[in-house]
Amino acid sequence: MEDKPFWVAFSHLSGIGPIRFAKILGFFGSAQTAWFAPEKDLSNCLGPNLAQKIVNQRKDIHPPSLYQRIIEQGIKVLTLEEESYPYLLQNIHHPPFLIYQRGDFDFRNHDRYVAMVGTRRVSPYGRNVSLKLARELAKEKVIVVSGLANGVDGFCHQGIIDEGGITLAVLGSGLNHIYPPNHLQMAQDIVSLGGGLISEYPPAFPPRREYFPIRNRIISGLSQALIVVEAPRKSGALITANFALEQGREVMAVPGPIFSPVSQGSNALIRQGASLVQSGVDVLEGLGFFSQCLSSPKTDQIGADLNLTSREKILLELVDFSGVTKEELLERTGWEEGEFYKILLNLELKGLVQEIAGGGVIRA
Amino acid sequence: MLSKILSATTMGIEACLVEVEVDVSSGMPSFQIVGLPDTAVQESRERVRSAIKNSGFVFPPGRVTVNLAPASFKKTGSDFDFPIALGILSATKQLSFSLAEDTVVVGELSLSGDLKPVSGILPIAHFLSQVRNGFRLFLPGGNAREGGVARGISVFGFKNLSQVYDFVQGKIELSPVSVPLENLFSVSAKYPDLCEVKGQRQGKRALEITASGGHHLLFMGPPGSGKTMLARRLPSLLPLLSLEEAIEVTKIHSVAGVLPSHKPLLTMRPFRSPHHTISDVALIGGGQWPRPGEISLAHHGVLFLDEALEFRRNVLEALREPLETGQITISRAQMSTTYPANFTLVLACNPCPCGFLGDSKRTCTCSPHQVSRYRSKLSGPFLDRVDLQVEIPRVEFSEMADKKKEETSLEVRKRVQRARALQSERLKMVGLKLNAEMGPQEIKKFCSLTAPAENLLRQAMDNLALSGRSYHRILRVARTIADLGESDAIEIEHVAEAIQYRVLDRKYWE
Repeated sequence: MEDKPFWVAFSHLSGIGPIRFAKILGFFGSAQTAWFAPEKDLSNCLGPNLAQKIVNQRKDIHPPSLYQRIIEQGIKVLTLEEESYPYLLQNIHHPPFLIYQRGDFDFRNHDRYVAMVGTRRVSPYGRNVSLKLARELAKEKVIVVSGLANGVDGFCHQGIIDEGGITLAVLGSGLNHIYPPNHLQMAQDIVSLGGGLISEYPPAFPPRREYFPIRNRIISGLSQALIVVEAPRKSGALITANFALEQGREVMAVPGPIFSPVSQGSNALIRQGASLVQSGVDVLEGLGFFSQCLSSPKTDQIGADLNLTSREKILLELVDFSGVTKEELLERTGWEEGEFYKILLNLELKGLVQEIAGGGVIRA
Repeated sequence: MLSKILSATTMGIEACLVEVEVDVSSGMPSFQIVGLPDTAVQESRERVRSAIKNSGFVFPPGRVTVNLAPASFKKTGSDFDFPIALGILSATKQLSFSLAEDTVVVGELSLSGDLKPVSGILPIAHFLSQVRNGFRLFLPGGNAREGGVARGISVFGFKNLSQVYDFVQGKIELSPVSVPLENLFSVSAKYPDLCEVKGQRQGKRALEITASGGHHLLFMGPPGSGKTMLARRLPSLLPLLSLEEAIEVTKIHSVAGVLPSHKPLLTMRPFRSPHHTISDVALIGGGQWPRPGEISLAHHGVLFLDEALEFRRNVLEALREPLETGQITISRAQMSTTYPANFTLVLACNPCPCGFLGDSKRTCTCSPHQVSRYRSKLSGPFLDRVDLQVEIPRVEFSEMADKKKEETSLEVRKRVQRARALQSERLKMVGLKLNAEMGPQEIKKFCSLTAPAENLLRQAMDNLALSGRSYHRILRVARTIADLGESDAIEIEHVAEAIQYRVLDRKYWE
């Protein structure tokens, strides 16, 4: 498509979003014509102020070489008119007229997409849920879409990577600026496992505060369902949930402890009618997919076949799913330190309990 | 007309003799001090002149020359006022000062002729008692008890110059000051007691292990969880100071000029908790004329750094050498001095900038980035020397109200002493005393695990994402825990417990 470099060029201009770009295409017929159009014509289409802005910006840009440079960096450009453009995204209000993608992922080869989002201030519970759900969905060959942020997003990607699965990360910055920087390795893993990094912003654009809420519409737009894992009352995850509702996506949420401030938002979603998710199977059932795996572990059976000693059973009984301090456990068992820690460590090594910040333990 | 008086001064925490020679001859009136005196010594000319005049003596109208020998090192401070004044009086025959050979004179004069206490007396007295028996030490009255701690010398304290004159001329009788050491030690030191802390079994246990093995310790927990309260009780768990240690501790405090006037000998283990704004020089020691810093004042005791992450990085890094060697050498252009600095380090910090990460009742308001940046301050070679890292959760109120009887420091100290005895017996042949001093070689030699314990440790290293460098630390701490249990072999429960004290190695923080 010869017009593509000019689409790319328009995506670099400030003031041009999906709506105005659609208007331009309708007025001029092609992006190339619009790019070279005199200011008078642009003014007729977009009004004098914006026309002047475009003229000012475009004189510094040479579309063919700009496009060439981006291609050379190994970044794919998917435009709205192409077949490779994700079909789910096409159906939302004002889809981005192009997206940039790093990685081999091809949207035409997959048909199960689930977005997972949540707070950056994740609790140990939220971390466990994120990892568990992501791993279960990876086993079912579901493509998990998230935002590469710290907290829930990161653990969702991590869960998929642990299983060697495919995941998509939608960034709030250009693809050459991985944010947050501590997830650089994760981004590389996502790409090397056949997933993709996706952004509507040109590769050279650094992250900006206002980009992140806007990109949330792409996270939900790329998916058939959205799972809010853990979200406080005011959270970007709830913005994503609103987008998902507008876009007609299934909204699901993971229930959390009623005392936990970081679960207030997700619990509120359930009250408003979001489906309650406890496992990957719940997600599949909610979407009418068939499970590809037969086994679905039930929580209350965990540990039954592990030959626990009687003391291990006693201690395990005392550990709950929201966390209890070791101090309290020492007090309640009344055991000697050495004995207590031995049993606790055994439970930990068997994968039944897990240490959390603050000197506590939680059921794994 | 020449006279010679013996005096002494301190270099580091050691002392040396200084000869004060005074020559008075006729000629143009002048008063010179030679022998590398610093400004404070030069100023003593004015004090000495007025003190002599105001005590009813005559300051010689001729040429007065004072030499401080050996002239090779710099003399500082006001210690020489008193010997210079006596030298002048005896050179002008106003005072017949016999037996000057075995009398050492130290002190500062006021203009009225009163004698003022100076710092660094115990090192001098102790030094004299080591040289030979029979020295007489003339001191300002305020210093007499400090000097009286030393055995084998007679210490006399004087109010003013006139009293010295009366004593030397035989007009009055004074008895030498001697402080009975038994009394000092029997007035047993009153430390804050461990039984005042309710609950906090983990924290108390960590203190016990720290005290036994001489390990360094980190407490991490939300504000108000009792980190400081616990740390303050560590000295009470350590064995009582021996006389030798007490003298060493007192010497350092005396040189630093922070010895309380009513305490001739410090018999309690020091507990120093400098504020986090402290400079590296104040912590380590230094200055143009090097003085001991907080780490030396904490010698044989506890150095507690509250809000450890708020300390400036260079300050913390400067601790590395003394932690390794137990002493600190301060080099300056004029001189270099070595001070002992063998202390137990206790650090306390919050788990995150706001302090409430992982707290069950309050919510942490820090962003993950803030937390990781805060944590990164705690990493690195410095933390490698801290064997125990323990999280202190906030104690629930109901637990505090609990009337259950808590163990006293005395009971714990008995166990600590037994564990220490076992260690020094075992480590005698390699010349060490405490488990914390063991290097990789000694660990290999003395920390053999039973087969199941070995197995458990290997599993834990693999599955719990413990970093490789925590391996040796776990073994060292496990050795101490086994010693506390008076067990020769390191068993499963000892290793299991030691693993619990490595919170910062665990990946769940990230």
